[in-house]
Amino acid sequence: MSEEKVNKRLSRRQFLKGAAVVTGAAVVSGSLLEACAPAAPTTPTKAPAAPSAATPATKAAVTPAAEVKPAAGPPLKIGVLLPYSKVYAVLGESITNGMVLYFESIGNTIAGRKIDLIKEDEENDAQASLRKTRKFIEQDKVDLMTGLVNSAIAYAVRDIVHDNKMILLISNAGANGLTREKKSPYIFRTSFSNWQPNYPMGDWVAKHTSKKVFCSAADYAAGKEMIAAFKETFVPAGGTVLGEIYPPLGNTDYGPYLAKIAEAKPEATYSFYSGSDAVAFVKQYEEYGLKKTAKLTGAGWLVEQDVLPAQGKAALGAISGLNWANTLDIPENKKFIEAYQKKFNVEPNSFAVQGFDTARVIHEAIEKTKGNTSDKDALIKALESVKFASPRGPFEFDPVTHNVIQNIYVREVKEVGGKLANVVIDTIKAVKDPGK
Amino acid sequence: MSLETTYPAGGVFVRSGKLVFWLVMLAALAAFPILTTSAYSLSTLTEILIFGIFAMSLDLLLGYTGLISFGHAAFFGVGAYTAGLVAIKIAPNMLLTMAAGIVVCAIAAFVIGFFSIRAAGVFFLMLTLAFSQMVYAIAHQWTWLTGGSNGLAGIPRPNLSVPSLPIEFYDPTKFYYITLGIFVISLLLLKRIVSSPFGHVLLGIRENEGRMKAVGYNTRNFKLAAFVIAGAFGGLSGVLYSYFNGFISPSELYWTMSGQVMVMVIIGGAGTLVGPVLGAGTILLLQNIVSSNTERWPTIMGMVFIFFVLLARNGITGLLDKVWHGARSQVWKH
Repeated sequence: MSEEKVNKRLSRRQFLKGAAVVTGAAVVSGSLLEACAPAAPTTPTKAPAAPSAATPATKAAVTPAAEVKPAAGPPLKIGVLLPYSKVYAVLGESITNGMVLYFESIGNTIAGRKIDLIKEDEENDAQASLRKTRKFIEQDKVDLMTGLVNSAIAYAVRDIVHDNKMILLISNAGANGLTREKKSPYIFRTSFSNWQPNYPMGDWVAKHTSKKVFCSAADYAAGKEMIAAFKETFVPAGGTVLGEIYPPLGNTDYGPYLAKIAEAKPEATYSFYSGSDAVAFVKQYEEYGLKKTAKLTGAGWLVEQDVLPAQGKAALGAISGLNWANTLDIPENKKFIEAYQKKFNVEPNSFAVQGFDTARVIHEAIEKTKGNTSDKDALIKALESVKFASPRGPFEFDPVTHNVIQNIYVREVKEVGGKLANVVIDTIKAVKDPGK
Repeated sequence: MSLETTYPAGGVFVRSGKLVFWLVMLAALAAFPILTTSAYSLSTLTEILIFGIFAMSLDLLLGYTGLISFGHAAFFGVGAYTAGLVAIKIAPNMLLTMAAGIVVCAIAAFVIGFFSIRAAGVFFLMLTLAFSQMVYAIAHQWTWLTGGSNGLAGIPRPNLSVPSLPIEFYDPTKFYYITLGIFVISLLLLKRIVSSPFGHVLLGIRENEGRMKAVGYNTRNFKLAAFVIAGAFGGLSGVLYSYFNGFISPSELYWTMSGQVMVMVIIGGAGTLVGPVLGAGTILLLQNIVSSNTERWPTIMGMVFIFFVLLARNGITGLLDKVWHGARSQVWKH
């Protein structure tokens, strides 16, 4: 026993000694580090893509220099970070299809530069996405980045994108903060802020549906933001929120939650769910008999194209707000839907529209800078001024927040020609996120 | 045990041979930023070193003590969140954030370990899993503090503002060297721990706990100590990770993360310390390369794991050992 004790003490002393030596070494190497740091390799600066004389805002004065357009500049590398596996794979695929459709329509070339889409899987995993973002910036040296479905991941990559002055076009992630307190001059959003489709719906539901509403949403940041935006206008319009409930994300049995909702006897419910959650919620809502007593309303994804076939008649009559509807009766939309169906043999959804518009934004902005992507300030200016008629109606950026300004459509699920569809029943024009 | 615990008959010759090998490895790692021009490979290597520390810390439990902890991500996450919160709310000082991360993790490990080690085998596994999921739930729900499911973003870069050494980490090369330094220190400390009498007791517990009790060791205390040490090192890796990414989200605390680090340890070779580092490197590189080329990458990762579990039980180090032994069989007989 005593021997063991001695042994132990000795080992502790040795241990400490060892530790001291190591820490000493660390301090020394730390100071050495300062000395050798300047030797660090500097990343090679990108060669300007177009003749540097091509300053922006000289569009009117077409100089001879512009006429000698380089037939083939360096390829335009676009880093696409979207989910191609796991839960959001369908969204990633739809957004990519939308982009591919647009880029093909312009011959895969912008200002003489061939488009090179470098696709990486968002994996619904922040760590992996950070790695991929670093790959885009440090290895692929992409001209700009786009994608991001999950808001948490968008927040995760925000800082390295901003610090590296990388232009990023978010094509789905809706967290309000991304274009508010966390906004960056380098980040644009072509999709929506969580606030956008819900804020006008509060007022609309109070005026047209009911003033006694129960709110529910999946329990994560987006769900909370959506319901908060709804209440922002619903309560001032005289509405009363009878209660709020937040089942976990990826839930399958809504029975207990629906019972709670029924107990409050609301005249309508306002909900946000998407994907399989939306299917389960809407179906069980009908099975539970709630549909007869409380009108189903919510954020558009609750009954969007991707879930509507699975929901079937349970979704009939649901009212929801979104930045697009497949029944939207404008020529751009009809053309888009036809081309999309022809190419991919499936019906487009709102995500595909977001991808399509993102590609168009990239095209128009880089045409404006004549293919120059290394002058970031000029490119940002060009992006800010992009304005066009999209399948979802007029599209433009808010120059302050870089969030899209767009119409929000109030839609009702109806049977059209034997098929369920979201029919536009009202339009709230040019909804602008209140970010400053 | 093999190489770590006993010195083979070759004695000085073999030992100095090994020493040379390690010095060459260290020199290669130290020279890496000068040799490469790719910032991406540098940041990938930095990440491998961080996960290497994390995997080594689990190896102390899994490989040396025989405690199959399935909740090790809790410490990684707690370390990262603590460092991040201290950096945001108090000061982004490296020493402060690191100390806070390690201390909080050691305390958390003490509490979790205190209850978990009372059970053995699969019950221990379930308890550690349950505790780590509780920590996950806290990070997920305590929105005003942790940012909830969106995670804690905008963690400022740490600095080392000791008056004489004003080091900022913004430069990836500097950060690589700091990480390498901490990695080497961790490796040496853990090596010291497992080859000390204390480490031998842990090995004894792994081989036959009943016997260790019969000999007169209070194995519970030893297991708890191992758990706390592993938790502290796990926290250290989390702290580094929060510096590295400037971001931390609840998914770093989720059980899949515990699973991932366990796979790293098993693929690399449990009970070798260096093995798990190689495992971390293999997994991260494979994941990076394979997922860039195909959407079917999870299938490929699964097959790699099955290969190691079925055909190479001792992991990468086991395979390397076989090669090494084959080459030196003349000199090295015991």
